Amino acid sequence: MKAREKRLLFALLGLVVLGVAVICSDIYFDKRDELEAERENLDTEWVVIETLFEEREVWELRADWLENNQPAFTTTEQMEGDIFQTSEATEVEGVTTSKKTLLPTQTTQDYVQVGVSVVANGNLPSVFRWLYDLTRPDSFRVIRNFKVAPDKENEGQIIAQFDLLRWYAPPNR
Amino acid sequence: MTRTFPEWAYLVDESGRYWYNLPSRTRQPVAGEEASRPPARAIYAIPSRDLISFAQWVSSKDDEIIDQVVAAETEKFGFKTLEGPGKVTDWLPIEHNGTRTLVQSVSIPWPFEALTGGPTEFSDFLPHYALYPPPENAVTLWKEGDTWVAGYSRAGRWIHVQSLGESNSGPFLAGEVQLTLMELSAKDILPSIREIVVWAPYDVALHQDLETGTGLQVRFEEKPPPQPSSSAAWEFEPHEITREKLAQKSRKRAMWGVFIGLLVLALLVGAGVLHLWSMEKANERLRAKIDANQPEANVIEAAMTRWNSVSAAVDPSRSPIELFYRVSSLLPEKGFRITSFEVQENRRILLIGEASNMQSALAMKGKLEKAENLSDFEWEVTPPRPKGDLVEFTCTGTYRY
Repeated sequence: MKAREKRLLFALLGLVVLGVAVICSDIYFDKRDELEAERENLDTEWVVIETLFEEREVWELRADWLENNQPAFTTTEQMEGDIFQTSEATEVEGVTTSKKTLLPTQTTQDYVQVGVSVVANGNLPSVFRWLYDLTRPDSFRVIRNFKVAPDKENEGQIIAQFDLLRWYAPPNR
Repeated sequence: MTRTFPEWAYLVDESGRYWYNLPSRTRQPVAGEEASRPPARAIYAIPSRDLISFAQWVSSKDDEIIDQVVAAETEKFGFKTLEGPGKVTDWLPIEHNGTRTLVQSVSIPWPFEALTGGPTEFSDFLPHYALYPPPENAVTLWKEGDTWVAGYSRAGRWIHVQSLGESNSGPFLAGEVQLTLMELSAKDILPSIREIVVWAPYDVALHQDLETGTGLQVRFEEKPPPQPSSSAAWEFEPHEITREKLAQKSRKRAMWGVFIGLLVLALLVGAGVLHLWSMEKANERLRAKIDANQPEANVIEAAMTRWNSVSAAVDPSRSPIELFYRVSSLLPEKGFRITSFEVQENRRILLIGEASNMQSALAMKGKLEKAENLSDFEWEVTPPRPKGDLVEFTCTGTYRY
């Protein structure tokens, strides 16, 4: 082989080595980026788990509390009857309710919701005390779309419009 | 410092080239082409036909001046001494006489084609004749291949050597010797030649021709064994050999460069693979840790999700009653009243109020924005506007989370 041919061969081999090096480095950087991204995701997942574990005691207590306190599902009719009766406020002094309308029953993964739309009249302390008593945490009652305004016709009275809801534990829990 | 020579020499005699082992004084034929790879490191005996020798008195003892004179004399033969990287001209002082120095100069005038790209195991290059001790004050004749060579000695040292060509004619040889002797004698280089010694088998005709032609006594004897250790300190290295050595060095450097480059590349690749492997392993370990803890985390997460989904029922801070209490507690004792308070879908508070003056309205706006227990809501307050004698204002709080 002539010297010129040898030089040409070496130059070609050099180019091949360079090409291989470029391809290898490309593969390396792609794979590294992929692994770094995967690591970042895993780190995030682990941080979430660690945070959950740090709060484990709180959430276990809360889960137990829910298990023990959320009212159990009976029948839709009975539950609707209960919420309607509650909205009557028959035994509450200084509060009258009107325009009561049952809301459609809704079921989610965590509760079965029954509700009634209500308008309550009365003086401010009586209405709010009644509502406050209704919505103690262990009663699982919720007031939604709450609107309160002075009663223009009766001075010193207020009109409160709201949906009174109650969340029962799902039947299969 | 004593010069050490290798054990092998690449010599030439009347039969041609051969390898010669100096310690055992045995010879080995040359296999293949001339100067093919030697059996080991060897001395390359430069044939006399490839040398130009001349002797002269130089009026100086200074080596630099002698160098210059020798270079000038060599160039008279049309031979450039610096046409390559090797050393193809050398000289030796033979004798000093006052300020004068008798010098023998030897040059290699043409390239050694056989050595081009050839072996570099030849460690020493010496004139062939210099390997043999000369008879004192004599002319010595011997054959190198088909060529007769005449060597001239002053006392016990060679002073000149001359290739006589391939003619075996006794008178021709005698004539050439006689002419050279006259020239050297005239220059006071060879003052007292006693005899002619022929290193060859006895030849009656040659004996007679030489004796007749030169008038000197002729003696035939066996060529002595080469003695490099007692030879003069010539230093030659043909350009071809130096070029080859330089090329080999260059190739070696290049190979080392390539080797180091490939090694670095291999190390980089190895480091890269190791790095990726360690990252992969670390990810696998973390994945396994996550997988091992995931069921337990799922239980906690499920509890959290369930709690959050019923938070409107169990978290009093989101209750409209509590929110109304928090808003109304910000009201001044006088000069402000709420005309409408609305909580929409547990996420949005709409508050409409009337103030006795603009200052009260603006003060209420500031209180809402600064109230810590309402900081979960982002407040947007429209500019208060006059309504009769009063100022009406509306603000909306949107749950941040």
